[in-house]
Amino acid sequence: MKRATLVVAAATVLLCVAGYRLASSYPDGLETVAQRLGFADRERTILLAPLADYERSRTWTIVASLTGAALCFAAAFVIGRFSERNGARRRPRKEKRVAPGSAGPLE
Amino acid sequence: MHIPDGFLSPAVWVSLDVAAVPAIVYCARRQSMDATEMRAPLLGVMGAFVFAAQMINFPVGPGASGHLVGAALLAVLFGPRAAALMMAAILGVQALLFQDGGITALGANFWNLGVLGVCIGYLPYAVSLRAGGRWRDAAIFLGGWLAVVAGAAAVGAQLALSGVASPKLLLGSLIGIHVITGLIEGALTLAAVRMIERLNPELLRRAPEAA
Repeated sequence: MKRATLVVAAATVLLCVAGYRLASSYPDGLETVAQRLGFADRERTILLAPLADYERSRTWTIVASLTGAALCFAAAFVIGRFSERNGARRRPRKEKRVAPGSAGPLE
Repeated sequence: MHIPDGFLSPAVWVSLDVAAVPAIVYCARRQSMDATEMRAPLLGVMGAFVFAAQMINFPVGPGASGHLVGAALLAVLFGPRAAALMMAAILGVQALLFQDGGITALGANFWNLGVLGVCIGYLPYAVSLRAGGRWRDAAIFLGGWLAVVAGAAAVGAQLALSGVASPKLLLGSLIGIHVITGLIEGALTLAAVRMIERLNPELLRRAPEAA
């Protein structure tokens, strides 16, 4: 496995397990503007998401973060596999377009 | 910068939701990379990393915070189409499981962060590649900054179209805060790209001359 993959995976787990300790509790840019300009109360909940309250407890925060990260890993991995499959289909056509030994950009 | 449910008028969120579908289909059909590089595991961990990093807010001024968006980072590493798809997946998980960003605003958030953020974030890097890799690090930093500022401007425009406040106030306030957030985004994007490049130099797309 690539070293970068392992390091990024370790950094992700670290963020999920300990990142909330560093996180600022201030509202983000959009929430701040919504409060200042007086439209924050327009916010509505149309679906109660299962992990919405991920600041409920430390353990809950860690479990919820790791669950979300695992789902994003799975989705991005599938995108990568599709990408490789598309790349394999297109590669022969690209090779025809590059002159042998040419280091220049494709014309 | 995730727009929650209720901020946008139905006309705005419905049009952006509908328009997001062909954009995602286009990205899915056209994205490709060199199959010999086997980068799916790195895409997977980067998707998870951007999700985790988006949860960590850092202070950007009195009473306000920001977080990494990661659009420019993913675009530089994997190209704009794969990056847009990854952003769509991350935004979907955040909205459906964490209520971070609205369900109805999913299309708007995808256009702001997944399309605009990725395309604008990738542009300076693409220009640098065409110029043989000149000013590459500055281009990556600029891409991160631009992605956040352009995303904020798009959020402001959509809120203005929804009639929540005056366009001048919305654009001024949102861009004002995100100009600072963007500086941190640019620095984190550059740091992450350089770290990944140092660990596995062959993973990064290079200028033709350097390939």
